[in-house]
Amino acid sequence: MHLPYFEYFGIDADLGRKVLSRALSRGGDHADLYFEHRVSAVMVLDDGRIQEIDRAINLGCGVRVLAGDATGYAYTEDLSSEGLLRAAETASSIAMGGGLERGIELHGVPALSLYPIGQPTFEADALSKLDLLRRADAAARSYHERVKRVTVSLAESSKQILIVTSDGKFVSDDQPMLRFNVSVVAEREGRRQTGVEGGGGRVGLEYFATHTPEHLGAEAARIAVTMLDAKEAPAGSMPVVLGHGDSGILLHEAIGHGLEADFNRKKTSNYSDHIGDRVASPLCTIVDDGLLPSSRGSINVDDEGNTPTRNVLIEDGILRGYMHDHLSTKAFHLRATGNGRRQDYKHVPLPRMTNTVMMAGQHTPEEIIASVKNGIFARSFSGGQVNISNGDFVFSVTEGYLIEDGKITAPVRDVNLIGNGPDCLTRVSMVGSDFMLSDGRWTCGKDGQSVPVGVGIPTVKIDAMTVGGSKV
Amino acid sequence: MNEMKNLASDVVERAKRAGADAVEVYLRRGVETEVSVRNGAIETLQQGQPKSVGIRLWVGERSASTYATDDRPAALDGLIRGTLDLVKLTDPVPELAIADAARMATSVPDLELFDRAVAEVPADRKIALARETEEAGRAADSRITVSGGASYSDLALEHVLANSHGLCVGYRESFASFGVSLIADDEGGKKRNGSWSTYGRFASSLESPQFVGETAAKRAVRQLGAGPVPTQKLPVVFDSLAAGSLTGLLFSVLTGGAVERRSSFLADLLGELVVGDNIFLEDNPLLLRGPGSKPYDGEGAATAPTTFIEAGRLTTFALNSYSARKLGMEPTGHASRPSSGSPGETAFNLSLRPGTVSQEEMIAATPHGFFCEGMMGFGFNASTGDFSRGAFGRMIEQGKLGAPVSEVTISINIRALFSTIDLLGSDIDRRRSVAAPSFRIREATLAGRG
Repeated sequence: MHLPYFEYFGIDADLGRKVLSRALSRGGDHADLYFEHRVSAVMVLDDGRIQEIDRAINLGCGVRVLAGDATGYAYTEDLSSEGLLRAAETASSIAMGGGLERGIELHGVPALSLYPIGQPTFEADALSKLDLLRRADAAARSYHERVKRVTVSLAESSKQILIVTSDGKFVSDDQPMLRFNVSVVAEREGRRQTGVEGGGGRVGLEYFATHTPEHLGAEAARIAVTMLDAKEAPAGSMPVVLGHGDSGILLHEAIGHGLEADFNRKKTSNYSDHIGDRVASPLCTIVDDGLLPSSRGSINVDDEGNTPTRNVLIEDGILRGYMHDHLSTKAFHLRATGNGRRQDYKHVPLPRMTNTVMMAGQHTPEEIIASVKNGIFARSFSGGQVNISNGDFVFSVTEGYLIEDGKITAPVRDVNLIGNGPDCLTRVSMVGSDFMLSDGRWTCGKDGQSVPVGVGIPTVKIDAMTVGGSKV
Repeated sequence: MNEMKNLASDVVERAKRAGADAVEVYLRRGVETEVSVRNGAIETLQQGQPKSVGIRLWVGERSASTYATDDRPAALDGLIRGTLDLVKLTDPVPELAIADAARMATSVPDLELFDRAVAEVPADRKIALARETEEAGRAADSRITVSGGASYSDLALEHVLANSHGLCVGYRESFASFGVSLIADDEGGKKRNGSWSTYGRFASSLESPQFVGETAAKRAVRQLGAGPVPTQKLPVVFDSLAAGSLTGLLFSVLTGGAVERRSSFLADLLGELVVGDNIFLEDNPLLLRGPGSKPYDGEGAATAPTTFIEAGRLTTFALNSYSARKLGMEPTGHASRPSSGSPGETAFNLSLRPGTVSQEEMIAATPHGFFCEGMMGFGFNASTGDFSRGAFGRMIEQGKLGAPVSEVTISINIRALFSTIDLLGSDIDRRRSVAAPSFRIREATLAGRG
């Protein structure tokens, strides 16, 4: 294992064992250390100029001690052995019993390699990255005379983690991330609209061979200009067709969060105690898959040292399983699913999604649209939210259209879609054959912690969903 | 604090020696703790001492910035060199120059932002407060079936800002909070959650565990049996928390960043009547013990009370040095300072000026309407003002609160919303950094069943 940053601080297996022993010196069932070194940078082109370059370096370690259902946690930015032992001492205060001398044997964990990088962005010449921004800017500006302002950003990060656990894991990962974004303001007669496009993932600059800056710039401009003509959206319950890709946000909000096992362990989720029950139409098979190559939500190892899995949540409409972290795995007496994730070393791991996707079905997208007399086609979204306990969820459509007599017609103004998880998924009546993984752009927030995730879905028809327009 | 100030001044000097024409350094150090309990048992004890250094450097009209959690002197020299390398890659942006020297704060007023007592609360007491809150909530109503957990958290921070104008200022602040989340089970099989938290800079300003627990329980059980109602247009009374979130959106479209990027529908409306003449949107950064109070802004400029909207008229945008220069205006002292990157704009203690009507009177004066207790989602377009979010609350029938409502969407343009407030409440809670009273609007679309 090559761990240059941690080696610089003298962090090795011996020190790991020493800190873990201190963490368990007052008792406890399990302890783990999470070392993180993350370098990130963002370059911003705004109003035609390379305006900002910001770089950040985060370095620290979190120490966790589990005693029964209780967690002691402390973090430090001081990676000296004294600093680490102090954090271990603080975390150990959760355990009240006497400590036992125990030997900790450390062993490596077989490593996955889900993100082979062609051209690591940090090794690339900075000028070549700035050129990507300028190309997207030029494409957006030349798209239409109504384009008034273009902002392009490229954010890159490289996160090296090392996890050492009292049950013997000693595992590291290098997690790259690229995020490219174009935001365009179009204006006509005092009316404005914004269009946003972008993506990325655990990829290098080879991403831009298939997602050219010109395409991303023009696409953001197209959305802004198109939405200048948006009409008032209808209000009420009607058929909704969700476009492939980003609409996977439906899965994330409608069932994903409710199937994170911490909520089910505490019995605060509307899906608690429903394993084996029908919670969706038989057309729905929904999977949280941490193994999709290069995807934004994929990980070679989770933040507790477990290997991620392809975790079937719903099979043909039947609830099959939850997403687990170490604590919930113990509570449910199950094997780890590799969903223990955290924002950074300052936070405890929680059950979190990776890439949440619905499997493809039989229909062509054209058949699905043609089957709707009056409804809404939703293509792009700004975000969503769910109330875990009652299952009510919302997501906001930023690019949506009316469907009239089986055809996509006028664009509609920003509209909120609202539904109830189990209820909404039972109304899925057609599933397309055109599965698509969203381009890597989504970030999930839970308990104040943000982690990158992926979503994916084919074109899907929901027979009735509440559309929050203003036209009654 | 003195050690931090010395360090910050030292970094300014080192950066100048390394070739920077202008420098700004922001140091932050703190102590944070959090305890949580569930069903009376301790669930987590967490502690950390966050620290960070943020540096912005200019060479001529080019700039770059850097952030690190490692503020040891050896690491800082590397950061400065690395940042100077980044500066060379940017284009000259004269508007992004360091804030003008003449605007720098000359004194740091004591706004009573730090309470030593918060730092001295023993761990046992924090656990006890969380437990008492959870117990009070569970005991408040027999329909509460599950506890989602109660927690107590606190944070003490020291900030130092120094720059090459010779500014070197700092202050301390504290926060404490505790709250609980409770679940009631519906006959329909749905779970209804209710949560409540109390926040304050001073330990003595927090609500009692009894009050917090009972409020959370009340909020859970009053949603029992909730569901959608038919789609309709009707008057809406927004509870003060929901009103605060709308007030925050109104502020977001008058920030210099949104205006100069032309992504705000208010971009060309300075001086115009933009909302109803009963609307006054005010900000007071200097409120003693205020949750958002700051003695100087993120660029080191003095802060002062500001009225953004006066009797419905847009009197000023919230501007930092950059947006002010882009727009050819004067900064207003509303620069925010993210740990990493360049300043944005923020309000400090934003408030919508209250009226004289109580919430009960407002409901009593509404023959048919919707009482909105909370909203969910992100449906707001700053370019157009279009607003569409999930909502929950209760119907109002014949001046009384009626059936609980969930799974509906409220839709209205935000400019229309603030132009049609016909009753403005008196119930403002200034312990929140965005504070608004309850208010009633004449009409919005509620999308639900059918």
